[in-house]
Amino acid sequence: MHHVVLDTWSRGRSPLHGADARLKVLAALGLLVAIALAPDPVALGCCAAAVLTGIAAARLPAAKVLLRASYVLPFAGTFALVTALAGDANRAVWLLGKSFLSALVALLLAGTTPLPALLHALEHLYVPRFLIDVIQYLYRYLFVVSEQAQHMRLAAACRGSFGGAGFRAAAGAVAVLFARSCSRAEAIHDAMLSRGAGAGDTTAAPPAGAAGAPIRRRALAVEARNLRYRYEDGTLALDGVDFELHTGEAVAVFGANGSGKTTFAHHLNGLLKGEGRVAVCGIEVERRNLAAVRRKIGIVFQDSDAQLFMPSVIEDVAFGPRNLGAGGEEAVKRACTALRLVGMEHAAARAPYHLSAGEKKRVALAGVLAMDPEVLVLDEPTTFLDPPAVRGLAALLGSLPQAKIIITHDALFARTLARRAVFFEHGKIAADGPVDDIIGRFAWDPRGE
Amino acid sequence: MHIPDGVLAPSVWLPLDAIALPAAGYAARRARRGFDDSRVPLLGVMGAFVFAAQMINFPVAAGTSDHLVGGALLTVMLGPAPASVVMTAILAIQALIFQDGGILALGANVLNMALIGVLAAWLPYRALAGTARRAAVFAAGTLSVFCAALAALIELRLSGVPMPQSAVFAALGVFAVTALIEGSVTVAVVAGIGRLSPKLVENRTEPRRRALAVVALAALLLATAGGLAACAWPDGLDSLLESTGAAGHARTLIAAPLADYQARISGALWLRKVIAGAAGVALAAAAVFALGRLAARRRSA
Repeated sequence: MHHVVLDTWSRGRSPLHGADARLKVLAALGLLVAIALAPDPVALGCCAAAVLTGIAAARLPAAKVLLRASYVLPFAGTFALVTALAGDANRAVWLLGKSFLSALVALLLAGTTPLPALLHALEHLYVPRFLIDVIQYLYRYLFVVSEQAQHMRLAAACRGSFGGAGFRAAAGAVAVLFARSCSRAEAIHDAMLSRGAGAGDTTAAPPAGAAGAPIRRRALAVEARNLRYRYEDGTLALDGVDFELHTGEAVAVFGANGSGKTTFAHHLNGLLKGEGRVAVCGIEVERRNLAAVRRKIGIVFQDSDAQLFMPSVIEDVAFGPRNLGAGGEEAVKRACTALRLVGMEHAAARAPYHLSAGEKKRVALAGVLAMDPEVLVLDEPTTFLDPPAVRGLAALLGSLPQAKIIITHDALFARTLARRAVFFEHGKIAADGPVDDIIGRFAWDPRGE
Repeated sequence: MHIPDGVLAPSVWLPLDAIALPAAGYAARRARRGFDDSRVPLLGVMGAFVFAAQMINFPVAAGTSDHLVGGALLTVMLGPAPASVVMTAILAIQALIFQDGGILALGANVLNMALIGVLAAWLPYRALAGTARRAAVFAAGTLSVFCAALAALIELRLSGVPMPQSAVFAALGVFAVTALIEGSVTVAVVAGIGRLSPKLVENRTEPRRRALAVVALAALLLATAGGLAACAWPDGLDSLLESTGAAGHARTLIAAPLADYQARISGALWLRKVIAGAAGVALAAAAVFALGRLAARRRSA
């Protein structure tokens, strides 16, 4: 895909790649204006020389750049053709030349500046922050939609493809693609929020206990009182949950599908807000405290693909520290430390979607650990993992000092990590006690013992 | 539909950049106000969908092809201000990363597709959605593309791209077919999404503003039709004015305020055109703004 090629180009090394993105944007604009206003072939020739020098200095593959820029020719060609047909051949050539040269300038800018740096520069040049955010989300979600479309295409091919389907069926397929993309996008958005995105000015986040959330001595790691939550469709997902977790403690959370476990987890960092109260390390989970809360508690989601949303492993792990206000180098340093901790430092430069399920889970965990939380919530961490990967994950988690809430169906895994367990039933905690007692009482061992 | 750099004259793209880009910034601030963060995924996915739809070219008439624009879909699903922002974001990514549409011509493309395209979808949708929802969505899709395309045509004509009458009529035919296809696709996709997730497409219109919407729509159509007339019969308007004797008065009226400035500015012709163009657009914008305020005050009184 074109943007993937550009992504590779823009991460090259040259004086142009290293230059300040704001300067590059302004220089590109200046060059475009010069091309637009060039009164004669000599002036246009000077502009062309400047652009070609830029391409050479950036060490971009010249043939590919020229080929790519020539995509603009059919569009400009239409107007040139009309002009030529009206008897003004000189002007037609002039118009084509200017269009082609302008496309080269745009390509030079995009080929030497990674999109995040480009957007950062635009923000400094007074482009509204909201517009920049929308561009970022849109770019990210382009991958989501194309990934979902690919899944649907494969599924359809396995069952005889969409061939021969009419307009209505095609529109229906588009609608299904839309709904699936939306649900995936919501999961990714939750993961982004969990790691500090959009939680306000995190650099000025209140320290624990500030902003009206007084620290009590020996605060509990997690405390929930009478938590209730009803989904928009009327389903009562949580019906009065009381829960406590002590510092450094690990608790397993069992319960049937749909019993409220994940809904409960999403209340712990404010992704969902129901009735009742939740506090993490003594900080109330409220809108004004979200930045502070999300520093304290890290959620590893069931689906690692939803959690890994950046183009490379290192960028993904550094996403959280950056949101906490760490500078570029500091964020990367913290990301490297976290990756070393989970044994994935060798994959730093790889794209997350090229990793195995076990590797993805480790990287997702690193992304959370890089934020240095005091509480870890793991939602079905063993899903998709083979037995050796499950053993490796258990050993890794066992070595981490944080308090842990492990939502799982895997009784053996839970036994390895936790002494205590709670059992969810119809949105309530039906039992709380030693893990073996709970497993025995609810027959939660797959061997039926 | 995307105008590349190098085609529009500086006297056209410069005022359009000066007007459209701040207008898009205003839409962004307006959309941000009261924006619920939980709608971010919907906004992003809608944008990605429209982005993908704009890449699918379909044949329209002999040898020509066009693509979906998606302004109406965004407007119906998100509301006008977020739709403008998302469309601006799409156009910015296309210009910056894909070289589809120029960077200097971004103002023109934003005006055509993110402002006029969204407005021309929002007004009929708002006027009709209460009574005939499907027709409202169809009208939104059709008018959005038609008005956006006409605006592009007018900008090209103003830039001096020669347009014989036959070319204008051929272009009109292509636009009409594209607009009808866009209308049908928008209806089908909105209905499909409505079946799967009804709450995403619930009716958010306020019927009490219908009269204003109808008036604004009529003004928009008149403006584009007027522009079209100027494109198709560039000399017709002049001769009409001549025959009625209005041309002389009109020329004096238009020329008088700027005559002195023109004499003082010894710069290039394009600079004078830029100033005149910018002044014209600013006057039109001020008039529309004043009318809007007046209408709003009357309604609340």
